[in-house]
Amino acid sequence: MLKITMLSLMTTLSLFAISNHELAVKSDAVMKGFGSSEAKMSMTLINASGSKRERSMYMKVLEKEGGNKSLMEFLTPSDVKGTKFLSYEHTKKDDDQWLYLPALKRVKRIASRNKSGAFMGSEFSYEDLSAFNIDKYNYVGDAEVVELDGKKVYKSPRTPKSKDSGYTKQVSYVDVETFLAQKVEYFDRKKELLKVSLFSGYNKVEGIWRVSRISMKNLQNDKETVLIWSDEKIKIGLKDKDFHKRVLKK
Amino acid sequence: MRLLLLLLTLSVSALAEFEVAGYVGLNMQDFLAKPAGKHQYNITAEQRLELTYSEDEFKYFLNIYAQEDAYDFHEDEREHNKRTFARVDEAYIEYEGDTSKFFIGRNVRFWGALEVRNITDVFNPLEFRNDPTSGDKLGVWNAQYTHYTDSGELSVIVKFYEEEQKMAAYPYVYYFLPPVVSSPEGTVIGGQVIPSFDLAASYDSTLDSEKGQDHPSLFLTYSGSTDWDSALDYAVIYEHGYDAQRKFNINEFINKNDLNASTITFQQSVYLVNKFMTYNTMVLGSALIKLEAQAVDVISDKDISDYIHIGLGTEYTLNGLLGEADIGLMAEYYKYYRFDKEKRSDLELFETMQNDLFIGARITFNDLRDSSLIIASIIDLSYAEQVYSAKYETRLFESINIALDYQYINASENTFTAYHLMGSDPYNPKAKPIDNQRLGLDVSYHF
Repeated sequence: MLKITMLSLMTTLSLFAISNHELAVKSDAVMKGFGSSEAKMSMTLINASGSKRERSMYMKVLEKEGGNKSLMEFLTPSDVKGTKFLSYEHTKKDDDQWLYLPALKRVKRIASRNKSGAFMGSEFSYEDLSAFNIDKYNYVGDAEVVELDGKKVYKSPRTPKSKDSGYTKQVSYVDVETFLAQKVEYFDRKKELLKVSLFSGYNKVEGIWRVSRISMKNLQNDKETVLIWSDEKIKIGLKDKDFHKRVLKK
Repeated sequence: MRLLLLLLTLSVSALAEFEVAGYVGLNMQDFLAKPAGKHQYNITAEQRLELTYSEDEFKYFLNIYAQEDAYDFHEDEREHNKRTFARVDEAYIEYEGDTSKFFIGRNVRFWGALEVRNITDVFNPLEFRNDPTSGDKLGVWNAQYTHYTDSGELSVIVKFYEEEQKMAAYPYVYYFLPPVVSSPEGTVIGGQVIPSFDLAASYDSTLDSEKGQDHPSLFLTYSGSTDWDSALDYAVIYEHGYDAQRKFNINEFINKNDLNASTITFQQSVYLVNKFMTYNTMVLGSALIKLEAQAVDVISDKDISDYIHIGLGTEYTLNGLLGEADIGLMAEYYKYYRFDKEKRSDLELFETMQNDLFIGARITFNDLRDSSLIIASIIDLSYAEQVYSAKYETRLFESINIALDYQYINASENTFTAYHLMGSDPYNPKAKPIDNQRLGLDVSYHF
């Protein structure tokens, strides 16, 4: 009996034993390959007293090896309709970011080094919204298997390489079977738990896993932001020219 | 009734094809200190409507604006501000190809990088019937061809017509020309030297021009972004045509039979130039470094010197300093230099940013209402003049915007700057001008 238990335990351990870096590579791989995408996005801001405000956006993304390109256009509230945010992510230097303000017909460059700034008043920082990139973090040791809402998940810490990151550590919780992220904890510069994001509504579109809901709860101010994607299409053949600066004024 | 319903149905179905946006608003300003004879307060209703229709590569756009000043409905015509009007700001057709764009029509453009004064934003004249700090611009008829490269764009733009700038009437606080001017000592009428007398002065909005208002102005522009570690957005512009800086002609009409019927009018005049401009933003770590400059060669006008105008600025954002708020710190310096000191000076040309320093902060509260506060101070280093202002903006019920502002202008005491003239006693312009203090409230509903 003991032998059977030991064998079973060893099999389980060998099945689950994975380094944090290897886990990040696998987790990243299951979400890759969408080529380009477009979707509607709603952003619900919830303050500590439960009051809500909603913003809606239209988003396009081009998947690139050295960093994605994305264009976000605000549809509501009415006074910011037509405001556009264009971003070129880079692994080895600061991202290029521009904001278009339609009332002034002005394209404004954004200094992206300070990544901890809130995105449009939400609990998401610019850093949270940029695509996950393995090379932006350091990994040490193996992932730990824990239970999250009755499901077995890998618990995996990582530390941002950039000194301009708003975080000292992130801990991700990844499904052991699908390698899809379920939850991420973010620790601030004082090494205290600042925010928790929950990922849900995963579905496979043309063989690629896509997430349709991310909530971000700030545990220090009790505010929350929920992002929901709808009508998402992938592999739609977008090119670099669809993310040329000219599209801001279009 | 049937006809009315039919018309309503037809217009609704026609509009359904268009994307509709705009706002209606009410702008109220109370002047805590103002010169005698000018209005204590001002109430203006504003409406803007934008219609966009897109089909394949074509875009059709119409942007109309109207405003009504409460004083313009006053029984006494002398109280009228002459600030009630409707305007077509934009009406154009645009074709966007793979690597090119063609545009024709009337539009408003923005060229610049700085926050307070955009030296290179010369394409559209300012609306003189509104607060000069509002940045309200007039649309301009023009055509444009643009060729896109991988990281930039090259454009040829031809402006067809030089727009006149209408002006509010004297009782409006921001009217800056004197309503009366004393005749020069020693004026000779009918062979006799007569004592100095006051002439009623007014603004004549017809535009005097070197080669006619329909003489085209040509602009060649190239803008792009570098892929360096310290990213740079740059733009260079060459212009051959009318200068955006305008001079004022003074036209005297002496009535020999009735001196009280004699008048003076101020009239704007435009002259031809060759002009080189550039505006740039460089990202240096967490800071933005900005440069705007123009070098102007006046082709033949005898009154205006060749000149250079430069603005240099920086912006640095601090995140989460005041709770969840972000604070953007800004500083800018402006210098205007004319080569020929015998010709008209910056004062005669009403150039307010000739040797000025701006220091300001923008606080973004990151709350549900997108609230923000801008605090600014502009210090004129030549004429001992300062402008201080604060503006708080927020949103209610998702579609109502509220803006509260305070502005204090400490005009130059001894120099006839635009702010001095705006705040001076019209019958004694040499006296110390009144400092302008304003409280403003702007409420607008956006759709």
